[in-house]
Amino acid sequence: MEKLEKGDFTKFYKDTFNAFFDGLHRYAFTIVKDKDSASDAVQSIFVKWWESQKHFETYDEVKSYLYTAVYRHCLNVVRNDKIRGAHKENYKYVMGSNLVVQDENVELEQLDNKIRTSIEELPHQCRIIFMKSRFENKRYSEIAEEMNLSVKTIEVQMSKALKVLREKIKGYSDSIY
Amino acid sequence: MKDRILVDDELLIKFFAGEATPEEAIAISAWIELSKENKSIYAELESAWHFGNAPSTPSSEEEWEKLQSVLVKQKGVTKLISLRFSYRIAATILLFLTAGLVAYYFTTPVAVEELAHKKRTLKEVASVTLADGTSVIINRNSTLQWPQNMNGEKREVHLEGEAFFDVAHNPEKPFIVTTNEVHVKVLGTAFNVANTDTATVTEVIRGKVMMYTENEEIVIEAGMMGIYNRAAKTLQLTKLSHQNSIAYVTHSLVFEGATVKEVCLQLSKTYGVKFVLADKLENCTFTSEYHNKSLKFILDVFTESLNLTYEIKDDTVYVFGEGCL
Repeated sequence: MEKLEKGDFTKFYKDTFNAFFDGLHRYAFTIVKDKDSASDAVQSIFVKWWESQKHFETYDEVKSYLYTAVYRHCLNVVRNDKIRGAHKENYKYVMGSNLVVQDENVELEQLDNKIRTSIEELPHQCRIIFMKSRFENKRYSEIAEEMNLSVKTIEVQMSKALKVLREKIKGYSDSIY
Repeated sequence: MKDRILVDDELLIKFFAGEATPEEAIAISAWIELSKENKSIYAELESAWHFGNAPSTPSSEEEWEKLQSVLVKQKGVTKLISLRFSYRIAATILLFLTAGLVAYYFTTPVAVEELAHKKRTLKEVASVTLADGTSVIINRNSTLQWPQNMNGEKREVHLEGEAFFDVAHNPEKPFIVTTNEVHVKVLGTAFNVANTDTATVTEVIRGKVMMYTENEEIVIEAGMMGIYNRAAKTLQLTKLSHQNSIAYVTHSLVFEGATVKEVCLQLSKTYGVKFVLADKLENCTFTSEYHNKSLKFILDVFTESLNLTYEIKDDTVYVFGEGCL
């Protein structure tokens, strides 16, 4: 395993940022569901690391530290409901005097007919589970509890849903280009 | 070595749904880098998850710049600052050689000052006074970045979200609010800038501002608002009908024949609470004015006059009622 030299922390810090930013942002995004919040999460992890000047022996250690920190940070953000609140607000706030409230399913309405039909064609339970995860940003454990199912069942149904969608969307983009 | 994690469709979907553990996320990152084929499998599934509109990752260079502007104001970061400034030193080396020396940095105003300060609001409205005397009230869930001394040629600040600016008059140094795509420039005035996913809205209360993009500009006078539409990338001028959108600053709300949804949406924005409404309230409308009143007061009057009841749990207001004719 590659050992890290003690010494130039600044250079190591920058290299690590460049090497891991994309992956960490991708990961943070899946949890907070928002590009800016994902950026903020990664930024604040790096700020904390800078403040602590923590030294690592191997790259694997750094990686594990950063991914774990991003994970905890994002879960906290979601738990505090800040993101979801802000998110809904964004959808609902439509410019100054011209206030419009849109339905909970606004995202669904905005979707292309084809995608909507594909979702509607999913088997009943599979569709409900997919909608709860994809549109209501619910965690697998929350959905499992609500529907009185096991987390494993949620995993299986989600995977089924996405495989169907992948085929539809693949066909769809092929027909455009 | 730990057991290797098998990356398959199921795990990738778990990942998109935000359910992957850090170990799984690390395994997925490594797996993506492993081959072109993996990359395209990932891209396909990601595209399916986002219905063909997968988000792009921000550039790590820009993010690195952003990170540094945060670190600069912290203690013990001399090394990093020296890194950041090295390009500027290179650019001015000729000056050093000919004009000979040091005072340069400290006496010459820089064209654009570092945005050394950053204030990020979550659930509370915050106010800050900048070095030039400009006061800014930052709405919830927003971020303002500004320079230390405001002694550049321009007074430039960066805003994400929404803020109200009362700009100190200084015709020599234009005050510019930058957002990602559109900028607002003023000499001295009071105005509000709000960014949403779809638009940037500038409402002018006093004075005059200019709103501009790379291609277009409009002048907004008091009582008007300018709207930048992100999708169409266009600027548009409209009359300001009321000032409810800056109620987080003025604490004044005016409702004229507003629907229950409109009222609740406005209260939610002004007071940072969420609303859950009973189904049957669509036909109810409401007319009233409030100045410096608490949320509780407004809710009491509002529900009383429409024969509704309400309950507050945490930061959510539940409104019940039988509806109106």
